[in-house]
Amino acid sequence: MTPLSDVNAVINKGDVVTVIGPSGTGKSTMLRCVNRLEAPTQGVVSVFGQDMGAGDTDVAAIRQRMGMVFQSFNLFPHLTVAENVALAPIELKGKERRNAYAHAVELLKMVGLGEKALSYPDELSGGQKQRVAIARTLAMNPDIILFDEPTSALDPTMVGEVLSVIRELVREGMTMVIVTHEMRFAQDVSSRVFYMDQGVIYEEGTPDEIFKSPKRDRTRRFIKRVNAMEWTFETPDYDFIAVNVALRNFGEKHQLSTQRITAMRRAFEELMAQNTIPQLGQSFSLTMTVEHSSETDELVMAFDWPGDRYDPFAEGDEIAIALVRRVMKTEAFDYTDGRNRLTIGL
Amino acid sequence: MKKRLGGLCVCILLLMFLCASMAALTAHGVLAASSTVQSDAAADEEIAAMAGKRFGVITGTTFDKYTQKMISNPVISYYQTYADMAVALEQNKIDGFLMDQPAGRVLLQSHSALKMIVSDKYHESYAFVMPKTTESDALRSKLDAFIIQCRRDGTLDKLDKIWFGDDENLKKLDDPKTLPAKNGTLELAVSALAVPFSYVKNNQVVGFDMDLMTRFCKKYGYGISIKTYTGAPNIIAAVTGGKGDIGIGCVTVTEERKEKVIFCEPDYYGGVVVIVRSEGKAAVQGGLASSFYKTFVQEDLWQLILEGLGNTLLISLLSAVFGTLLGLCLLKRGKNRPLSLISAAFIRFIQGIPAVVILMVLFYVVFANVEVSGIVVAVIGFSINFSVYVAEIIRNGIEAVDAGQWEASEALGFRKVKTFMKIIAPQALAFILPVYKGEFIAMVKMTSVVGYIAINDLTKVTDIIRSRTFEALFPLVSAALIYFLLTWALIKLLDLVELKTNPRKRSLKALDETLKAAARSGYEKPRPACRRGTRPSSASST
Repeated sequence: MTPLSDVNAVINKGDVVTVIGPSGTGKSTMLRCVNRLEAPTQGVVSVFGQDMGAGDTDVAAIRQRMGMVFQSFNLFPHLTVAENVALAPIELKGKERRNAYAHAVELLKMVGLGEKALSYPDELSGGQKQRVAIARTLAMNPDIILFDEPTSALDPTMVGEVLSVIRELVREGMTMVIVTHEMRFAQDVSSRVFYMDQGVIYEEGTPDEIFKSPKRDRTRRFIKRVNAMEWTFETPDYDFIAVNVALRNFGEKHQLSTQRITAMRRAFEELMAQNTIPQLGQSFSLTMTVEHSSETDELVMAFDWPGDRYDPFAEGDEIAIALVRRVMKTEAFDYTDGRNRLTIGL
Repeated sequence: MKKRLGGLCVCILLLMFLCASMAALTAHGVLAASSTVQSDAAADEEIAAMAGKRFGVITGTTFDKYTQKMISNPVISYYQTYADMAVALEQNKIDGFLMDQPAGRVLLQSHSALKMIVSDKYHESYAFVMPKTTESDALRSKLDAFIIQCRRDGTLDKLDKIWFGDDENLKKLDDPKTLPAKNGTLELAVSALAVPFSYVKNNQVVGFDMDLMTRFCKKYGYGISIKTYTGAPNIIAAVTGGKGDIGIGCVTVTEERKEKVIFCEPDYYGGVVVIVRSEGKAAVQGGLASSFYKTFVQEDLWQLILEGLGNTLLISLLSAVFGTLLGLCLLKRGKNRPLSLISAAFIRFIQGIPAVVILMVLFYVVFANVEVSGIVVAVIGFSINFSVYVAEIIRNGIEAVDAGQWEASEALGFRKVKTFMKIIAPQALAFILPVYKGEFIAMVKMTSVVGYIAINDLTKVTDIIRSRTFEALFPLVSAALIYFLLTWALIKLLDLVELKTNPRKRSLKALDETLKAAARSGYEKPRPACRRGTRPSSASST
């Protein structure tokens, strides 16, 4: 479980909140804290105005009004599909059997599985299982549904059928919190989007705000599916070989061509190692950032250091500069507030 | 097809067995073997010549000391019954063994390839034993006086003739229930294997010692109740452990034993003889028919086997029931930390002790001074032993159910207990039953040690039959076959339970009908009370 720290949010009736963010940043943990499958060590989670952590709160009663759909479906394998759906209403709400099964049949038809009522879960495909799980949750007529990565365990071909059922619920106005990796879906259905990173809600907004103009760096990188690498230099005796290996590994990991990997290494060597770093004295702070967007295939290297203005393109060794210019597409130098910032596209 | 072939094979085997038995029956009838006895100075020479040879000794008897005394540098191995030793001797696994002369004579009747060497040098006396308590003093002086009188008036000689003779018709006793229990009832700890002093015949304990005891009781107005044991050491343990007022069954008087128990006036003086192979005489097999006759038919021994089977079954089934219940108690530890630690420690502790040791500790130590039937002790012992395994099996079964099942059920609003009953238990059962089945069968077979605490179970009765008939093969094979059939039947029974509790094997007909009826009547929507007030109610549809 990823630890959460200082998560604050209010979700209102009718909201469809999607929670996005890299793996292992606490999205599922947050969701599980809401229905208290996970007990937070600090703080308050309040549902329907009741503190889930308070001793006198009937957690089971609240859970009856707040369904949850799991990544791994968690259907009851010893019961038929119809029984999976009808069990909770019969056992927990004392619903009459015939009526409960009539509801179950109706829900199964709604998710397109009317004819699977007498099948057992292991006779279904992943997508069918997840649709049964949604029907099972709906059978309790919940006011809220929590979705914990409902399509992450599915074959790509089955993601659509599950998402369309969830879209149907959105149309009906169900209050939902959906943890998902399906960006297009999140953009379409949400009323609000939480971008989670490092155990906090890092950025929150409408789908347009988050997907079209993210304000913060990590959000932008995640939305644009940008992979980044950072390296900080503080003395002239840095490990030159390690930097080269790191650049090559980064390139190989994100499937860049050999030419582009060579270009990165040459840019670092000619611009920084040969020209800039020798100008900086014994102690300094130079940051190198390499970013690659798997959506646009853009590869950008940025160097940032404080101190006197020094533009290697203007003041550096001409042969070195010529070598770099042959392999790069764009260049930009900027000096503001005592910071040099050099950006090149490769 | 395979099944039918298997059945055919069994039929053929049974037919072959029957034919062989019939042929043997007509050919041999009941075999009467002649005994070979020799006694004089030549005997001592022959004994001296056995230096360094291999000798068998019954565990816990004084014969290991005797063997050391009579034979120089013997190589000793230990056996449980004389029947086993006789077979071992015939098969050349040992070169001889020592035994009491009267028992030796009986043994030689059914082992024609063996002979007896009698030396005048070694004498033994045999007597009843009593606990070293002051209460037993009065009884003992009465008994001593009675035995001395019997020796004087020739009663002992008469008994000797009856019980060492060939006439089976004379070898019978009054039913102990008919004894006049005017002055109370005596608890007897009796060796069931000490032919002809005390042994089981027609489901009654009879013999030289028992005859004498019965006569004593008749004269002085005592009733008797009998518990049977195997061998003198167990009798002495029973008497010192308060399990009997008098211990009976050819108990040899020794100085060591005198420290633990009080010996009465000896009722029999005998010698120690050496049993060896008789050169030039091949072992004559009595044939299956004769073995069958001796093991089951003669003296109605089949009734004894039935009793043993009943006891084995009773102990197994009761232990399974109580053991499972106790196992469930051990399981329920949860959050109570001290209780859970105690339970875990108990499980480790019991798992580390052999069942037979638990049984003996219960019988000879814990219940030493409590009036309780051996079967009850066995059920308690095996329940405890079984429960710790059951607890582990059930815990593993529950843990084998995917944790997601708990989460899904609780997320729906089920509380813990209902989650367990409706969701977890039915799934856990599928993991539990196959292992439980194996453990249960293991337990049934393990009950074969209850003979240690004087219960006539299937194993013990075949022991009794072997020492009675000196037939080794047939009683053992019968026991194996009966145990096999018993466990096979029990496995089939548990298979049925497994099938019945498998949710995937049930009929879905009723559910199908409910669904069809439900589809016809349609779903009646609940009144939209708290759900999204903004939406207008769509009323109830049909």
